[in-house]
Amino acid sequence: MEYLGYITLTIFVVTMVLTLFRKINLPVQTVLVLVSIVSLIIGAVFRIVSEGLNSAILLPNEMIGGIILHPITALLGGLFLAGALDATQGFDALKVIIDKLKKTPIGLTGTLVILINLPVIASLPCGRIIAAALLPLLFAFGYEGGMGILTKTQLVVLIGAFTRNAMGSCGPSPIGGVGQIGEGFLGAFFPTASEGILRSPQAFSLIIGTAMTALFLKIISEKLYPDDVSLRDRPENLPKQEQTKISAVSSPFRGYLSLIIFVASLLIAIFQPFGKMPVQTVIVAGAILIIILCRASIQDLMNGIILLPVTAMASGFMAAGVLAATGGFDALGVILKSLSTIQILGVAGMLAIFVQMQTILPLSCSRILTAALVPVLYLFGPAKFNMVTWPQLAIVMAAYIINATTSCGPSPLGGGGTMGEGQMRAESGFIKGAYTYTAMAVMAPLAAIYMKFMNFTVFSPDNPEFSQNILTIIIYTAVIIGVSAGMMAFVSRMAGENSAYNWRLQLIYFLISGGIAGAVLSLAVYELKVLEIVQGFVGGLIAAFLIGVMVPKTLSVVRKTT
Amino acid sequence: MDKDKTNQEKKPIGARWEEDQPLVMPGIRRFQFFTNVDDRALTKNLNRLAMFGIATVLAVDVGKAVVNKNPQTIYCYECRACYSTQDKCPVGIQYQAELVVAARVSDYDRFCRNGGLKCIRCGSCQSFCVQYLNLAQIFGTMQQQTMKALRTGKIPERIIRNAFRNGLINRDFIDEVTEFLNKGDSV
Amino acid sequence: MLTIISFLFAGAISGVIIAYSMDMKTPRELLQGAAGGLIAGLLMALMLPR
Repeated sequence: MEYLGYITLTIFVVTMVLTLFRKINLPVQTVLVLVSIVSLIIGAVFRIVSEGLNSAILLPNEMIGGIILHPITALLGGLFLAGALDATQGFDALKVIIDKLKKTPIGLTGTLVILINLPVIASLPCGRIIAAALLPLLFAFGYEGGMGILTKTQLVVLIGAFTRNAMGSCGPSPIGGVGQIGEGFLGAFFPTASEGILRSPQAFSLIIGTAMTALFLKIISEKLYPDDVSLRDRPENLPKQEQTKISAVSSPFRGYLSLIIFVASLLIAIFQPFGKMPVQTVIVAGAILIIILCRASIQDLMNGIILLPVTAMASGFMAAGVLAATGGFDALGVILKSLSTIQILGVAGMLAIFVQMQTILPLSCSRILTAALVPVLYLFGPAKFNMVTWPQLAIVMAAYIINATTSCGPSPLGGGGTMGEGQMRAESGFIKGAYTYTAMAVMAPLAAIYMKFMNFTVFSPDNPEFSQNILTIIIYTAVIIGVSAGMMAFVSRMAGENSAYNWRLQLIYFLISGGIAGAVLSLAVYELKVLEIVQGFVGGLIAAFLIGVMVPKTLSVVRKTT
Repeated sequence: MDKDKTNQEKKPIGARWEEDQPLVMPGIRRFQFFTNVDDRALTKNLNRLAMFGIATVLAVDVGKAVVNKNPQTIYCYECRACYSTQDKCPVGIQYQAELVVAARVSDYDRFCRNGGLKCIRCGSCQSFCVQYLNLAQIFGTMQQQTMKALRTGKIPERIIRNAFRNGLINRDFIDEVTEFLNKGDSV
Repeated sequence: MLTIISFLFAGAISGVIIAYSMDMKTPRELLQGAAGGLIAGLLMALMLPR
């Protein structure tokens, strides 16, 4: 059975890499279904030989167990509500409100900054809900969307940063967020861990990571892929009359009413004042209320639902389910653990790679791998292998979880980032560099540092080993931002017309940043131990190579739809 | 006008043109089906088959939970907040969410491996669930289902033997499990 | 309290970077970005466990 895990894992990884590089020219859903079927057949043969027919018959059940219904229903619920809001002119009402906010002291800039960070403030258990509902609004800020107050470049940054924030907001959610997987385990040492020991590090690194994503999109992605966003700017010679028409927005009463119901649904979903209930139930109830009170047709709502990302996600779960059933994830865990025996890596280097694992292998929903790998990470601690102490485990867990929860963003297998790419009308892969870079080089080390210097005392106030040090946090944050932004500016300045040269330049940038991230993680875990810091640097370098090499050189421009 | 008519006449049955896709924003149409992405199709039927497969698996996933009288399992977020139960579980079950997923899809191996047959249905883990699912009831229903499958020979002996060796069977089921394993040994 | 301060700092710096990235580079716009970030950071911090 052990060999079976390695076989199915190899099939999955090789097939996915070939698909991403367009060597297999099929939609990713079809590839994933085929991978599932092939792995299922191989698994069944192994089972028949080793355990008999009864065991093989149970294999499909085990595969279906890999499907996580929650993000699928969350996305459908979000799209349903967005459809309702759109059909009843709720977005027009929002535009009017934003138009008014522009005139307040925080202005348009401040309003947009709050809007970008709204997903983490709301912290719903799946970022797709709020992204599906609000992305059409963000699009409306551009010329084609009607408001015409932002240029194409600004819109790309706005949508990209918002989607980044959304596809990470499931991490710190207290109502079923991904972070709770790790919190459950840390409860063995920190008695109150389940109240949200991983939430602050995640939220902190997300707020900074979102900003760095915006910067990356602006100064690197736009330079590397200049012709791959088909949004249009406002024509320069537009008559004055037309210009006024674009910026004048109004909304009927039903628009405001649907907006109120939308906001109320979100608040009820977040604060659960009527007792615990699934977020999806609240969202769908809100949409039904909008249908009745604001007179939307069912057809309008159904038009808002897109099956494409849903099918990608479901097929990703199927493939992951087969991998789990055939021992593929166990094999992955064994491979990762065995890395610690390589002298140049050691435990520190292995952890630096482990932390970045989900960005290396971004799947449609982070829960797939998190559920499989967090127990492995837990066993590295005092519970079994004793490689790290409990506080060290908590630091690694914080870095791992933020890296994991943000991994659905850059996933080409139906990940949440594709929603943003679709909305900004960019070719698939446009956001991958920005999303993977910030998760690897900014968010993971920041979460580790925040856990070490700020969060321990909140959850273990009586332990004299822990103390809060705001100055250290500020210095680390400033250094990480400064180094990343400085190198980003350098890469942007050096980038030219040759896409292969640009890609190599970007890869070097990834390597240096990844190495530093690994070293910072080791510093947080082991403090000033030179060997561990070097090992962390090497681990980070390897992880950065695996991440950087998957960022596309150029994006596809072929699209035939008839 | 005539040209439009000719175009419409040419359209094969069941074909989806880009113009047929819902218009969500000026200039933006949404592809509702990935089978529209035909720049990546060896044959459209392969993609259609994959779409059908995905829909079937999703339907089976939800349907199974309903048929097996464990519909609550559908609402599980799989957030694993229940892992916080830790030593408040009197029998030391660590991975409650695994049991919920196993119950949803009738995965006997996952259920037994994670101590499903050890659960005494005290409900201590329920308060940790963000949805307040009745975990004791879910596990109880799955225990009954597992024992029924055991009696009808649907569960491979390896699964039960491993659970027995690791002390993952509670006293409600131990007699029946011992009898089952003894029968296997004598054969 | 320190948690709130750290989030206010992160929010402000994030707001400035976002504003800069969106070509809103005048001192007034950068300040407005920082103000927006402060509000976002405060809201986030208030939702966190103490």
